[in-house]
Order: sequence, then structure tokens, then C-alpha cells
Amino acid sequence: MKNNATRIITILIMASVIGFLFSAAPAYAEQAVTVSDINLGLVGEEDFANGYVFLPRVPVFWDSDVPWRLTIQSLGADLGAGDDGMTDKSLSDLLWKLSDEENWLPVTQDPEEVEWSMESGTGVVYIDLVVLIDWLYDSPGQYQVDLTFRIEILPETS
Amino acid sequence: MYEKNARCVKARSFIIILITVFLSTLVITSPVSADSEDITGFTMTVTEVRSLEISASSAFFVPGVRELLDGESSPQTWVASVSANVDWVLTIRGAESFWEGPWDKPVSDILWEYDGSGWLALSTEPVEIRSGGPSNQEAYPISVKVNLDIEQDIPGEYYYGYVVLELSSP
Repeated sequence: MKNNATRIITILIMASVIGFLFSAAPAYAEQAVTVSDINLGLVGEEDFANGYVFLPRVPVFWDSDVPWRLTIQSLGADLGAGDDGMTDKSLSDLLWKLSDEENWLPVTQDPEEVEWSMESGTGVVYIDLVVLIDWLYDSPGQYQVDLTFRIEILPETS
Repeated sequence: MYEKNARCVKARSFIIILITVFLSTLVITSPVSADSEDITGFTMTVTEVRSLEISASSAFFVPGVRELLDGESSPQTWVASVSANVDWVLTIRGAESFWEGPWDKPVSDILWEYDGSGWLALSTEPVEIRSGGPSNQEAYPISVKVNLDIEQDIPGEYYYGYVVLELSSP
């Protein structure tokens, strides 16, 4: 009886020590993401002629001591209306992609995964933004929306 | 016997403590979600934009005998293409009162017409051709011809600069 208890105790102690030593993740994950406000400035004739405004390589700075994923989402349902207040500019007119990739995706109110990594540390992810411009609907005025960039622990299913 | 039972109880208690510590270790060493977010303002300012494109930057008239006898040149058509995100008005005017050439041929010898409105003499005062709202490359054909007078229009090179088409605020 005494020998069994001693064995169990020894095994548990070893398991605890091994579990503690080999656990890569800290008790509390430290994560941060920073993005400066984005101002496209004045949209003029050339932009209308092109049909869009292109903003390349917006830096998204991240800091994480655990595997992470970065998401983007809009807090607003649209980009607001021009000075005439007639029509709200659709949120789907705002598109994003990773700078080194090709596929554009519309910004939505649901979080979309921008990037993920098993690596911890600090770094920067560059994204491109495009706003579609239309002569018929984009009346003069200031359009704006708040975007949320979130960094979180990479789910094990990712 | 009693001492042996006491040792068993102590051993069980110790095992329970160790199991608790073990499980706690597993729980604690799993990262606790501490996700972070940054709310970024996205802003753009759309200005008033009116854009006008003309199909021709210059026009040449070489009237023949028939045209001189008829008193007018063959008409030419210019296409004004309008794009705007606000209301607009398209006007036409002459920049000078007279042509340059063998004689002071008046600006009014240039005639224009839009959409069957009838031929109108060009003047240095702007005249509205058409107005509208937000448009994307709406095309407006404008016909132009020159009045000819076989007695006054002596041979030579006549130059008129410029016929001004403007897109502006109503």
C-alpha cells in the first residue's frame, strides 16, 4: 500500500514538473495590436475616373506571446452619407487584402481573419485597402467608419 | 492498526493535493484569453467633381465652291462627354469676338446646334447647352458649322480660338 502511494506520488510530481516545464504558453497571454487612423484624404477627378481609391500597405502592428490570429471588422453598417444625406455609402465599397496577396474581400461587420501565426513575438502585417467610387452615388462630403482590428489567441482548430 | 489507517489517510490526502496541484498546473499553464483590439477611424472626403471631355481639340473647315455658294460649311459634330457627382450646367461661348484672318470675321459666323434646338450663333457670352445631375460619361453631340459669305470671305487662312465648352455649377 505504502509502495503504491509512493509510486503514484512520484508519478504525479514528475507529471506536474514535466507539464509545467514543457508548457510553452504563459499563464496569461500578452497581446496587442496597433493601427493608426486611416485618412484617404480628398477624393477627386482622377479617383472617379479610376473608379476607386487605392491605399497600399497599411501597417498593422502586432505583439503576442502566444500563437495568434488577427481579424478585421467594421463597427458601422455603412460609410455614412454625403453632405446631401441622400444615400449611405455601402460598406461593401470598402475592400481589403493582404498586401502580398491578390484576392480582395469586402469589409463586413463580422470579423474576418487577416492573418495568423504559430510564432509569437512582434511584427507587422501590411494590408491594402480600396474604396470603390461611383459618379452617380458618391456625392460630396465626408465618409467614415470605424474599423476594429483584433488580435486573439489562435484557436487550436485553426 | 490505528497508526496504519492514519498513514493511509495522510497518503490519500497527499495524493488528492497532488492531483489538485497537477490539474491546477494544467489549467494555469493554458493561456488565458487576453485578446486586444484597436479601433481605427477610416475617413475620406469626396469633393465636388465635374469632368468634361470633348471629342475634338481642334476643327478644320475647308469650304469648297458648293459650300461658299450655299453660304455655310458642312457641319461637324463634337461630342461633349460629361461626368459629375453633383449638378452641372454645360455652356458654350467664344473666347474672342473676331476671327484672325484676312478680315474681321465675327464670332457669330460660327453656328452651333444641340439636339435639334436649331442653329444658334456663337457669342462671347456663355449659353447653356444642357444641364443635369450626377452623370457618368453622358455624351452630348454638338454640331458646329461656319457661315460663309462669298463676297466677304476672300481667300486666305482664317483662325478662331477658342470655342469654349464649360462645365460648371448651376
